[in-house]
Amino acid sequence: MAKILGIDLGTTNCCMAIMEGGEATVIPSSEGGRTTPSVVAIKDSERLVGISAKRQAVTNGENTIFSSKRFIGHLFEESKKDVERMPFKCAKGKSGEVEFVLDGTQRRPAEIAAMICRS
Amino acid sequence: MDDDQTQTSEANEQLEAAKKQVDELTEIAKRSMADLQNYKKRAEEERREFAKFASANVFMEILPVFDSLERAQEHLPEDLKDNDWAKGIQGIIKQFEQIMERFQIKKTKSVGEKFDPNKHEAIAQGPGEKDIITDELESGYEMEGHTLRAAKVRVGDGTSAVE
Repeated sequence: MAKILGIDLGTTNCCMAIMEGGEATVIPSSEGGRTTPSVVAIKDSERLVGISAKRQAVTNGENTIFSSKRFIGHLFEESKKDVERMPFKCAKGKSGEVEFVLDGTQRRPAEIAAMICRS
Repeated sequence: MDDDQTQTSEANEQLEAAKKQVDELTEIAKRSMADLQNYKKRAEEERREFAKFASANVFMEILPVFDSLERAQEHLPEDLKDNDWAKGIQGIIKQFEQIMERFQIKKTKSVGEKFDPNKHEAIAQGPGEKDIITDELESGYEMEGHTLRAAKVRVGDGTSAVE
């Protein structure tokens, strides 16, 4: 009997819940919160996700990815204005879509979403 | 003769269907049992965590009042330093700190420490040694290694204050 998992992949926060006895039960994040900030960072070669990534954003703007959802499914050419406003670097992916440069490695928006959901 | 065979065949089919249903229901029962065990374990863990941090939740509600008291103490006018009433207020702050100590709630060390996003929240960056906290804007608190509130801090960016 498969479990039903619901994912709210938000631009600012993410939340996941499973169905238990006909009701949705929110899965707390590893930090104990019911929602996880949609932020991923690399600091001193360590990957930070959620609240800890958000707390260090001021000190590490170039390697802190946020609002990644807004770039899902968008081409680099059509997102240039948004890309310019971001403190982190973006690049054109193989099929022309937006990718983020995180600690020198290009990451797709869906990869960032997966990192957030795993935390 | 044909009727007998048909009846036997139907009975076999019904038996097979019933066996299949028993297998399915047994599987569901096993899974439900496993789900119940997992739920019990999780509920127990949650109950333990809740009991441990119940006092912390109350503390979090009172914390802004304590912050205000501390700020008031920081801005105590010079001419009131020896005033008995002001000393009484300082005594109340100490009393509050003793209660926190009893509940194992500790202030997070900040100024001079290396910035740690698990305990500190960077509000600004400025002159100072790279990644070392130069100023604390709001105190942080932890309880048994768990951050209740991250300290709001200013972090050094590796530049010197005097150009």
